[in-house]
Amino acid sequence: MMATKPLKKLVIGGVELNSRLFVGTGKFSSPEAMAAAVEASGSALVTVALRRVDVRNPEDRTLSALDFSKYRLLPNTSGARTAEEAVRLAKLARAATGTNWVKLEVTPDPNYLLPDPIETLKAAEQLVADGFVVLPYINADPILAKRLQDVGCATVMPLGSPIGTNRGLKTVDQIRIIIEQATVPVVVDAGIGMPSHAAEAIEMGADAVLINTAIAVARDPSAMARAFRLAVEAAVLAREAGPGESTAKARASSPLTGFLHETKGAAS
Amino acid sequence: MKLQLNGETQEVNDAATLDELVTRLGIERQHLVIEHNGAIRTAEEWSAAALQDGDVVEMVRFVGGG
Repeated sequence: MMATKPLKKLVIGGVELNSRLFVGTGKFSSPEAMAAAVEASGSALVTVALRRVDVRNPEDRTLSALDFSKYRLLPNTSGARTAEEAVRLAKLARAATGTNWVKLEVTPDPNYLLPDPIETLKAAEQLVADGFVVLPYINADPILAKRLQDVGCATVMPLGSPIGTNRGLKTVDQIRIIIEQATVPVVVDAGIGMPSHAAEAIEMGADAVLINTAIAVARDPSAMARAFRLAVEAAVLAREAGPGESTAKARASSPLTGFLHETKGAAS
Repeated sequence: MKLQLNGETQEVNDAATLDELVTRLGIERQHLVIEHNGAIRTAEEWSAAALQDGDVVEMVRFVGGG
């Protein structure tokens, strides 16, 4: 059966976003390539990370080409292995940008970068209490998603497959349940490698997708960003158009009468 | 005096405040945030934040990320 969940305006933390494609700013070959790709994506929300300044080599250009006035920033807590570290990073991020939005990620495992559900929930509770708009990155666990929603998270962001793998929606059945239960926007984050994966996520009822690696590592990041933009727009349009029902048996597209093989009984 | 700066011990003798430390190290101020002995200090607070021997200073900023 096709998703029939009606498309509502995308509102996060009281702010309406006019694009359902969120993009990351990591892994690009140059600051200029990153800025051009972000522009081509049509995104309104871009993620950034927080790192120690290299005091011996203090010039950092990675975000220098980005026009910060054009995008809402979503700082992440990447590198955090515990709730405590994530909360510390979130507070530093808030001080650095003034935004109280945070993509909460707690990833103790360096091989698969899978998020720790217990530490994530713990950090989410503290951050919500401290006035943050919390967008948690989670494994596609419907119960966890519900718990995070219940403690006041602004979205839930289940992964399609591990970060940076470009493998697509390997967790599709779980994501479907998350979407079914969600009262907050569902953003499919991580693992989306091709525009068709992004379209699939939106078509099945996700409210937005977050893409970084697939755009950043493409030979032509701006062209790939545009491809993702078009895919997301196509899926949004399809949702608005109201897809037909999917069925097991064939249903003919032409009238089932007037076939050449038809014979009528001889006239009496 | 000795500071614990971004996880490394560093000898600093010509900076009395966080603001002077940023200047002396030549660090770009945009999107810079400093944690001083565990407390977050925004740019407006740097010139009033006196440094003392043994202080722990973390300087962080935004970089590309997903």
